[in-house]
Amino acid sequence: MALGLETAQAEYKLNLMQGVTKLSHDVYDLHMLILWVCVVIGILVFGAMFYSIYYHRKSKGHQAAQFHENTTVEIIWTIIPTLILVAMAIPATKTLLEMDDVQDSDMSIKVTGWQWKWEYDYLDNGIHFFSSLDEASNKARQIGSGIDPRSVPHYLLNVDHPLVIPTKKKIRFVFTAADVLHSWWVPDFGWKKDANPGFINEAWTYIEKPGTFRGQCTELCGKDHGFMPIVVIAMDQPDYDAWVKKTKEEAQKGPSLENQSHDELVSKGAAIYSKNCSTCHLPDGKGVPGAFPAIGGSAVVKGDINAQANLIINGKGGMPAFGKMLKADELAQVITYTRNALGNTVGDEIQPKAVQEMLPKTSAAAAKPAVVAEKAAPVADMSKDELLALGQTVYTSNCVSCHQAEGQGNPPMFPALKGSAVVTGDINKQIDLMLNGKGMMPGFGHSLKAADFAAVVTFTRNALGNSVNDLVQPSTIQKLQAEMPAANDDDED
Amino acid sequence: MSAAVAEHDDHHDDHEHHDHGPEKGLLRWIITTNHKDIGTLYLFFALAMFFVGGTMAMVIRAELFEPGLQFVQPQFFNSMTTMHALVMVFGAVMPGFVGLANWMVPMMIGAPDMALPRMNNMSFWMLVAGILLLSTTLFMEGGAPAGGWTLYPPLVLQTGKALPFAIFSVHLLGISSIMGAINIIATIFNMRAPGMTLMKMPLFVWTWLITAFLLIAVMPVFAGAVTMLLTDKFFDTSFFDAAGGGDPVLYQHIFWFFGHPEVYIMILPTFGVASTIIPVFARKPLFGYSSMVYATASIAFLSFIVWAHHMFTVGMPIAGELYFMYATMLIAIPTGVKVFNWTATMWKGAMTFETPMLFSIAFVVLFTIGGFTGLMMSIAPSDFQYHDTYFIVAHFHYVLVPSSIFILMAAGYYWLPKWTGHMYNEKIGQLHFWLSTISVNILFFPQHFLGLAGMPRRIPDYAVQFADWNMISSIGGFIFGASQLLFLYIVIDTIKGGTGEKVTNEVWEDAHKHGLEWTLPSPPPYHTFTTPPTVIPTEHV
Amino acid sequence: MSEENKQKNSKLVTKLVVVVLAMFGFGYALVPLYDVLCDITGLNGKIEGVAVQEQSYVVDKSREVTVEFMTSLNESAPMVFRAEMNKIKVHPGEYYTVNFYAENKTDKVMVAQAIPSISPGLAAQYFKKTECFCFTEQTFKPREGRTMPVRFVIDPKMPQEYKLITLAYTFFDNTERSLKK
Repeated sequence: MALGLETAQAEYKLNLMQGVTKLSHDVYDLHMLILWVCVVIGILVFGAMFYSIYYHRKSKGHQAAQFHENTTVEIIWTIIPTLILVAMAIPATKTLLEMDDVQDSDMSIKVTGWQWKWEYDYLDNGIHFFSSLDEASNKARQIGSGIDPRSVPHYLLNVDHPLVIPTKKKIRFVFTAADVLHSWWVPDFGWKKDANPGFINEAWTYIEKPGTFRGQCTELCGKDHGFMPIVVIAMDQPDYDAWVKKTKEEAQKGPSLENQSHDELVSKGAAIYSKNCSTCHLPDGKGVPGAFPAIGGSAVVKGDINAQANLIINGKGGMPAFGKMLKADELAQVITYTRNALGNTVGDEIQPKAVQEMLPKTSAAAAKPAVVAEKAAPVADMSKDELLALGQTVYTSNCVSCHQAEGQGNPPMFPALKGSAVVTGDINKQIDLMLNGKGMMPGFGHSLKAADFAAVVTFTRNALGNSVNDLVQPSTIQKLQAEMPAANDDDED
Repeated sequence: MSAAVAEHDDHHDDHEHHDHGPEKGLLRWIITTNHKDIGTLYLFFALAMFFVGGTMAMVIRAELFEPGLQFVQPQFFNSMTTMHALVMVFGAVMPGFVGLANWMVPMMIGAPDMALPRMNNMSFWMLVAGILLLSTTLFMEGGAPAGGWTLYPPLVLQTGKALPFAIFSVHLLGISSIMGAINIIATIFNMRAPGMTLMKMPLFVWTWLITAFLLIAVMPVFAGAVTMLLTDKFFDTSFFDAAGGGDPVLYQHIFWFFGHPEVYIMILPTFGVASTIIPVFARKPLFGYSSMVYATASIAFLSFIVWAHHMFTVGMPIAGELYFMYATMLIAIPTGVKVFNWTATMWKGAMTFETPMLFSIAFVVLFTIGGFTGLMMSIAPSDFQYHDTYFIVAHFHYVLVPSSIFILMAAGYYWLPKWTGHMYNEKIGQLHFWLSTISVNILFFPQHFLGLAGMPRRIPDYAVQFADWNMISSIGGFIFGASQLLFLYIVIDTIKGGTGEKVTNEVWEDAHKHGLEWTLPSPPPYHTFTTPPTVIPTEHV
Repeated sequence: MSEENKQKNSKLVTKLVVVVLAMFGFGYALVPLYDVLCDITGLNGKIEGVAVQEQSYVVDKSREVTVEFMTSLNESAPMVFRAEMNKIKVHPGEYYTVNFYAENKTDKVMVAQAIPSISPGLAAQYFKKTECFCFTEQTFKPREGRTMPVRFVIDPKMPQEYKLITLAYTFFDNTERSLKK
């Protein structure tokens, strides 16, 4: 990031920038040529018009002529523009052909547009990262942030991870998108190219001298379209090689328990938030009232940081236990992020080490043997009343946040359980749905114990206004759970 | 058909529909089938929507006044840009010209009314319903559409509850426009006075005839495109969804197959009004009448084969890019012919500069500037830089605001005395003109600089190097917006009696040479040309 | 209005309504037309989703073309997806098989569709696939991972200027869509 800060702001320009590539110079020349053609035609036409307006007015006693056609003149002013256009088309065609020639490139970078960030894959050396708006701009851009954009270096044109490329190499970019249309534009390169989901596009550049070049997304892609800039840093080959080496080494290090700066925690937390939290709490942290609490202004998030960390690690109600899914540094990042973004400005942070200590000893890898151990010990059958009583507590802590206390649900997102076709229908189907989840409904097969699971199934069928009058024993559930694939989180690919 | 028979038939017709004059009270306006009443309804509706869309523009310019977000959230900002465009295009500019057509086409061709009066009434109220429905989306969960007026998928499919309503409102607006277009074609083809041959028609009628054909050719295509969006969202089709074998780029092709002619739907009647006004105030026949007709027709034809120049960056094969570049450059030729003809019409005239003429001259100059930037954009490699920046915003506002809107104003000043029988206040009219012309340039000219310097369009906030010109542009916007209240005042004032000066039938010196409408009393009676006129003005031919 | 005029009007209106309906149909006709256009011009690198019959070509050993493989997941589809190699140098006319690996990371059955795209688009028509997982929807059992081959050949008729071809696949999670059906 520090690389991008030589000047606080770009210089102000009136005309198209010339850019730093041959292509951008060609485009600039075309632009100037056609501009001057327009200026000259404009002077002639407007000149004649204003001459006429000045001299051929009634107040000056000018008598109106009555001519209304002149074939010669009309032919002349059809032919001359045609010739000018042909003259323009020749250099334009040449430039277009040159831009189109992506063959013989020295390296390829895949660029993927996301709402609202860019993903870069170096196809030749495996380097891969996301690049989003830098934290300083992101803070300042919020309504009522109280931060003067002029005090932010490269406001809205700075990113957390710039794209780094070598100079004097023909670099081919391959564009695609993961959600909606985007368009990748660095004016200094002389072109922009759309990124379309499902399809690829190509373009290329060749940069002579090192430098930092900034651009933005130019295809409307939703609310934060204005906030996904592009920063490209061109380095001479040795510097670039050093960058590659450093970046690869960093990537190979596992989860780091080293302390990270506040800004780093926040900016990395944003990606983790959007990957893990935004489906329920929404990308802007506003949540879904009645179902998923808002992050912005939340008492939990603004309260004690350790209590928040505890909740995220161990889950509560509909909130899954993320201690099993995320690593210590990722948890620290996302916690710090929620406290300092999405409308919150608590200003504090938590370090990976602190989170590591709070994590349950049986995290990730240890989780599997635990399930196996439970499998060995058979569970005892329970009476219907026992099941109902236990089911009530299990329901309260796992289901009410979505399906509500009386089972009335929160349509259309969360169906009512009272009178539900699933709950009053085939018990095996209900069990299957609850084990594996469906749509927004999480799978509870791994998170509930067999007894709890059986109890809550029985409870829903015989309470909350339902009276199917059947039950399921924990032993049945235990068997089904044993058949389920293990819940591991081998996310790396 | 002899004149006597026609007269008899027309009277017969009068007894069938409407007896002697308009109905009394509010009901008159709801059930009217009179072309003048419906024209008035369209014009007032367009004026109202001009202020609604304008208010949205003010929100946009207020947010862009300074860097940083001050007033609205990005999502709402996007709704504003989307709704501003839809309201201005479908609610203000298009109905404005339909209103003019309703009032003037029958009077210009010597017809007693539009050919299909009941359909005329229906198409107006369908327009109102469509725009009202569109407006309600502002209050729906998830907000109004915010994916841009082009409604590109997949983004537009992320719209909340509003999506089906917005699409249905587009259907209504489309049907309304199509009915209006059919009516205009039928009127021009079947209702012309004896002796009013096609090549004697005023250019306004010609341009509207061609526009009407564009409308019936492309509005159905747009309706199809949005229907595909609807079924993609709710009925599991995959026209534009790659996951099911579709392609989002296909939508862009279909949209711009509609969208480019749509641009000309808004500008061709503009050409027609300008070609009608300029000769009157130059006291000279229009230069090159037939070349004007042919140029209009060629522009209309070219509009069907250049659509992909709106999407040069989408990733087309090189042959496609070259073809669309060349075809687009060609448009400069007929458009140039028009500008040269207007200039030649002024040349050696005896010009006076009443408000309609001032607005028309401003149109010629400022439209030409918009045309120049259009020519620049036709050069595909340069367009890779201009595309989706404020340079584009500046370009299309130059060909819409100081062109279409200015000409609608010019038409208002030109025909208001005819419509009302009262003269508008020339001093305030000229004040309105100067304020509008100066502020519209302060508003849009700096946007060229912003675009070239690298500011993308449709962003609620921007890097600080763009701050100065945005502030200037916003100031221009506020002055322009406020100046339009003068126009509202003038319209109301003129209807109420204006200067009190009694206007003659021809209002403007020797106007009767330029159009049949000036042979009628001012204001014209409720029914005109129930007997076809016998003398056809032929000066321009 | 005279009867004659009324007749003229209704005739004209009928004609115009036919034009309107035809244009509405034309909008829909643009969909298959576009696909045809894509096949001819390689627009968007969109390619036919059906296998071609294996036929033998004269292998052009003198020429080498690099084929690059790119894998993407749409909207963070919960999968692992990768090609066994980033690129391969091939001779036109010779058949090659390259394996792709895809894995369902959920505990549910997943239906996913891979969408191919080739760049440069004009090279797409010379890139023939006899076998590909992209021809149909792929169903994955919970947590299932599997290796899927793509067998392809480059038509030796491909113009000399193409030296690098990118073959990209994007997996879309179609589970919900196919559940509805």
